[in-house]
Amino acid sequence: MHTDHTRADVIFDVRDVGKTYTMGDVDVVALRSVSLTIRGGELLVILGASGSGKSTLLNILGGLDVPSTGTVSFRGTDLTHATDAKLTAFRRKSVGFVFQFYNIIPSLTALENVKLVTDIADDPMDAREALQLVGLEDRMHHFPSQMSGGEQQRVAIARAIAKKPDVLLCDEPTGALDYSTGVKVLDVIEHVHRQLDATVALITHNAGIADMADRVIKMRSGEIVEEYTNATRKTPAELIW
Amino acid sequence: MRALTKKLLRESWHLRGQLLAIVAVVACGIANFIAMRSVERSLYVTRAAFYDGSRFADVFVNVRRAGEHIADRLREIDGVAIVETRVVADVMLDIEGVHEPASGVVVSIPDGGQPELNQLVLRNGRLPRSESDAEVVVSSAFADANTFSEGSTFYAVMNGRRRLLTIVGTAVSPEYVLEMKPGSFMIDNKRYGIMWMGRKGLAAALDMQGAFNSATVLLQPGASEHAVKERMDRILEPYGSLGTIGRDEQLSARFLDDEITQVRVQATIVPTVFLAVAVFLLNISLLRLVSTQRMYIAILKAFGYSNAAIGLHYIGFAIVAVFLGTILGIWGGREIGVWLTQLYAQFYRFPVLRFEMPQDVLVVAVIISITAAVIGALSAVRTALRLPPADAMRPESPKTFRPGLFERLPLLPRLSPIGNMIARNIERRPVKAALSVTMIALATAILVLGRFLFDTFDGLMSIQFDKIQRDDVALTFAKPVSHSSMFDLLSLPGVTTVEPYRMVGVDMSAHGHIKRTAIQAMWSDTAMRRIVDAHERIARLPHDGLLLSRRLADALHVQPGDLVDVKLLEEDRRTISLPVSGLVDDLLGVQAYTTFYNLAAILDEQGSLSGAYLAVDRNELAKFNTAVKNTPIIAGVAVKQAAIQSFKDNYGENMNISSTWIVAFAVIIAFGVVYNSARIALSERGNELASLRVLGFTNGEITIVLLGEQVVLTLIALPIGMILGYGMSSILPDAFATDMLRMPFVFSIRNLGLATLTIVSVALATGLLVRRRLTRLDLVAVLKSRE
Ligand SMILES: Nc1ncnc2c1ncn2[C@@H]1O[C@H](COP(=O)(O)OP(=O)(O)O)[C@@H](O)[C@H]1O
Ligand SMILES: [Mg+2]
Repeated sequence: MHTDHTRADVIFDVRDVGKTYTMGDVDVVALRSVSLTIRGGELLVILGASGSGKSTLLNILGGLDVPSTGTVSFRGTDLTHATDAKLTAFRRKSVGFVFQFYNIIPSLTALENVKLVTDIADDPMDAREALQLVGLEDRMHHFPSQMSGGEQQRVAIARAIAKKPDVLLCDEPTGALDYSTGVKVLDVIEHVHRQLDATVALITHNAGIADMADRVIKMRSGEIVEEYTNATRKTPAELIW
Repeated sequence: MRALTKKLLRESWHLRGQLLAIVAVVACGIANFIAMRSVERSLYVTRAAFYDGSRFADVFVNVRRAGEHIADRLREIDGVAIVETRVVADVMLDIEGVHEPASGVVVSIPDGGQPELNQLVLRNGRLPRSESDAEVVVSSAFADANTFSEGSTFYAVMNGRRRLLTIVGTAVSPEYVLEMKPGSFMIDNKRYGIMWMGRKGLAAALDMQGAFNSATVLLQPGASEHAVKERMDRILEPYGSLGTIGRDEQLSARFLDDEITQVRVQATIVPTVFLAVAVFLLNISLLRLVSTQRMYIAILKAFGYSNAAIGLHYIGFAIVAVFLGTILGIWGGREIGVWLTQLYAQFYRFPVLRFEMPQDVLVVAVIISITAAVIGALSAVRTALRLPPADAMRPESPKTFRPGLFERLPLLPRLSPIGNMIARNIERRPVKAALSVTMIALATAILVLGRFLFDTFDGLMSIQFDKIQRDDVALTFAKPVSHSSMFDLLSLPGVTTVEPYRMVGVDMSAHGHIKRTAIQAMWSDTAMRRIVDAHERIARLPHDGLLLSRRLADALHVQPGDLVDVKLLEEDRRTISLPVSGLVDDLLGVQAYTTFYNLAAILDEQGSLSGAYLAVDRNELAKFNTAVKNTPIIAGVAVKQAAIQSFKDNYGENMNISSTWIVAFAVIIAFGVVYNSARIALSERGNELASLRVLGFTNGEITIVLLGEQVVLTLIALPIGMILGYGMSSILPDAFATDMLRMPFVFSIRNLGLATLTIVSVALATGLLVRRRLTRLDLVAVLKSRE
């Protein structure tokens, strides 16, 4: 299932990024010095133990946070010194997020949660189409409280892809789900990746999931300790964890 | 300090914004309660002491003239304890520094000194010598307004003679706690005052030796006032009695009584409104607190804390807020009370009116506060106690939502997702939403009502001074004069037009109802004193029969076309039947109107006049005033400009102060409700909002999500508040209508506009205050937690 990237354009360029959080009197170093590039159309898995700095990196990529040192650029545009308004516009236009906790709006139905995003996007796909892509065409009018965790996470994925983002960032999307539901969700992510030819960065602490990636980055204590390319990608159903 | 107490105090600090809003509302309620109850008590106690101590009479009567021996017949009436006769006279005054002629009443005091009834309390100086017809004690309000002191002098025209009077003292009297010129509706202490003179001197000046024209009576305990008055009326009838009146009709006593009642009503209603708002705010704030603290509650329970301890802990938050509010309210209420008492002391003259905060008011305030705190905390505590420890450990399951009613109604526009979020969040807690709406509507209604009172008083002034009173000066003669006097008036300096009027006191009766009133007669095409009703319509004088104040017709149960029996209270005291030809909703007094010629025919006169309305050239007014002051036959002068000025002096500032208070009250309520609701919404939906920010929504867009609910609720509340305010406003004029004064119903779009503007501004300002917190939302932290 290997996708060969003839399109080698660089989407993210991360150079010597460090991030230090100051909590009261102590400084917590979340990222030491991270450099990497993410290319268009690839499925990247970032692997590492809890606390290794994966989420921090992903949040910086997604424009939710800015690095303390180093630079990040997105398609040549600097994100490091962008204003809050610029970052907001960046997230709105270019990034799709999926989180461990689905963060969907309880007062809106599945369809409306997706519409929330398509309403403000420039050239979105139809909200129904997005739900079809994640296999939820039958549950469009259900409220979050009427859906299982896996279904809620699929709504979150539909919401993330509906704007046709440049990049889909997933932070432990299966972290709160049981095994079989997790597989189903990964399946959806992979399906979306293939259907839309979308660039995906997926975080996990689960080494088994890394086999579905084009490329894997391993992190430890705020640094990249290993990077490799999978010769063949496994389907989610083939993964074992 | 116990750990739980520390938690309480720290978290109270954390919640300070919401708690402070509650503190402000409670403080307003308690301050009102303390201030109004204390003022009521101060007035009540002071009045009781004053009336008792100075032996305020129970029954009053004025006659034309009766021999002193007639008093003995009054003394024989069953139930009468003391009868005191006296001589009183309306006089015109000429005071240096007061341009317009002033007027007043001179009352005799017995030759030996203090009267038996209605004793004077001397503020300074001494009582006048009995035989002196030049020494007077004057009322303290009159003295203060004119900055008189012992030895000051002014002129009075008594019985057609101008005399120089010397002030030998100032005093207050239970009979004149409030000094208001009969027939007027405003206090003007500068131009109307009470004087006391020795009986011998006054009787000599008025040719009333051996006779009296006024009597006051103290009843025996348990005596029937009604029976005594009836007997007195019969005895005094031949002497030109104008009828006995009890304290309930005595001008000063009635005003004071009405005032105390009003203060009492206010002391109940205003604090109730505030405390209801406080209970509501406590309820929603604490419910939210408990739901954010589910985990802690579970852990506390797991540690073995009792339900009682946990319950008390949450009641503690309510107590903290209410306690601070009560302290502030008691302090503020005291200050306001002291200040109000000083204000009252300017209008109501007692020997001393001291602010008194009764202990029991404090106790009641504290009890009310604690009750409010407990009621406010009740549902939160109940929720906390019902949480099973294990259940509480788990995060709250996602809130269940349903499509709202709004969406299910056909034909309504489809909402955007954000619109749906707002609508469903409102519909999910209908009771809370309804209460929010009620509170904001209440604030709106308070504003509308406050403005209405203001507008209505303005309306009364404009009807009275622009529409009715077109004359510059109204003159009253000591007794009716012949028609030819009109020409004398025309020759006074500056007078350009003269219109005569005739007024005669009557007892009017029909269907067994009787009412003492007057017939006022003017030229049929009067340009000076038009009869204008509450809707500013001009009524025409009937050519035949009487035009009655509607209130008079109601009291007599008559309608146009009916006949009324009219007993003239002048000269021959005949009784005649006259037709009622129309009714008018006039504003001041109750009376009957007819044309000048009609009344002349009824009275069988050649057009005598009781007084006249004059147009006076403004530039000649000074000369005119001087001339009038030297015309003994004139017993009363009302100068329009002076009345308007006196209104501004006496009431203008007070009206401004009270409207400021009303606005402040409404603002505090609206602020409290919107602020707490928005803070709670922020706490409940902080994660949601952060998620939206993550999705690329701007701060402006999530502000709409956060404050949309408040905006919608405020928009729903505004029209309800307007209707409520309009409804309360429309009840008021009727509820407060008296024989003396009816308020017109003046309701302007501007009123609604101002209320809307105020509430919307408060809501917006409050919203922006909360909005500042949105920029501090921690997007990253939100993604890590489930709640
Ligand atoms: N907002 C923050 N404030 C303080 N410390 C943080 C914050 N976010 C992350 N950290 C710390 O930075 C380190 C890396 O965290 P994170 O990127 O969340 O790791 P991972 O996602 O790999 O579990 C951890 O030690 C974490 O405690
Ligand atoms: Mg993480």
